[in-house]
Amino acid sequence: MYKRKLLVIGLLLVLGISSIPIVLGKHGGYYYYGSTYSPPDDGVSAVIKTINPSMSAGNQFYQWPSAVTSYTGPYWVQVGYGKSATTSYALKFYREKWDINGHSGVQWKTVGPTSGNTYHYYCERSGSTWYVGVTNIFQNSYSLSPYVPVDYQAMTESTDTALSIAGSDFNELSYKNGNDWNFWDRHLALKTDYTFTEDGHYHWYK
Amino acid sequence: MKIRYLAMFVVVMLFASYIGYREFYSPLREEDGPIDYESKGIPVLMQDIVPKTTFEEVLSTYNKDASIDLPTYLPCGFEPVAAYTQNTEEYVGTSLFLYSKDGIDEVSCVELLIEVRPMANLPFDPKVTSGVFTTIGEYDVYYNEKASIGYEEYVEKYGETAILISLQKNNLNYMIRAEPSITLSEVLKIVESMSQ
Repeated sequence: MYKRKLLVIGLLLVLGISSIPIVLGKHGGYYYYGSTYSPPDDGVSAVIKTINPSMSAGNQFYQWPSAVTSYTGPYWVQVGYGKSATTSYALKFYREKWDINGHSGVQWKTVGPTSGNTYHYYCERSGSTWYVGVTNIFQNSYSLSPYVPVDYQAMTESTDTALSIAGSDFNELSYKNGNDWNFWDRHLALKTDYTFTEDGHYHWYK
Repeated sequence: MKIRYLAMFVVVMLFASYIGYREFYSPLREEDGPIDYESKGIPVLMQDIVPKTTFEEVLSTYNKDASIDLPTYLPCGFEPVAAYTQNTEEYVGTSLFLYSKDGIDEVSCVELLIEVRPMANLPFDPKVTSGVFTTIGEYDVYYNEKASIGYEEYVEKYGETAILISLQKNNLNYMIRAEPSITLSEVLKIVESMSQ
């Protein structure tokens, strides 16, 4: 009888915890938008140093570059790393898109980055196909509708700003124009949540 | 003759093995793990990037060379309510124009939204995109009556899809999002009024 009560209480607790809505959207980072007929519309990349912040159960953490193809949907394609309950709070790479055909979900890879190491993340376009990947580790593709970017972003995102992201380092933020990759030549900081030390247009850290 | 066929067979097998080897041992051949549909790594949204402003303010950021078309016809009760723009004196970026019959001024859940951005061509590929490609007046047009929308506030109010029409003219692209109770014929009427 006593065991049964414990079981019921345990089940209720689990149900209660799992029904707490997870709200993402604590962002820190930068976005890029350009002059007429830009941003250069062929891709975005970043070298990101991996951090592994400690966090309580239920929270999520991501760092990524992303190409925004519309603010109407909103529609975008993204690659990065992070952790959540789905990864059992182990760091994993992931890819993700949303377009008029819907959301891909966060598509976690079976592999992940090593804390302290840097990786080169990219979203690169050829026609309506976007290739997303981490250099020398993986590459996947999405066929996107719409497919032309209107903005690029590179962000830290979490469910809780109390989560420490010390050690974060985004470097060599680049855009692709034709066949050439160039460092960002302008950027704007998001004025909320996390803040960083800026070192030119294409490097920031905390 | 038999040796010739045998040689051809060996060459084909070697080639197939090489392709298989490359595919299997490619450093880029990493398998997908679990998919999480609950989490959404949503980029920062327009309303978090720039402040809300008025139609007049945004229109003043376009010069005569890049003048934009906005509708002269709106469905009954609809009015301009708010606008957002990335435009500065130096840059022309994306602008959003919000129309509502209930005074809604949120990008996420306004009934009728027009996104204007500099672009050379329609951003939809007819080879991979279902929907209708056509022309209306001077516009190249693409439309889809069931475009997926990701804003949670929108989904709660209207469901998961919207009518989406993309118009292309003079290096400007217009993306119109209409919630489903606005009919396609009304949206097409809005488009026709833009070119007048």
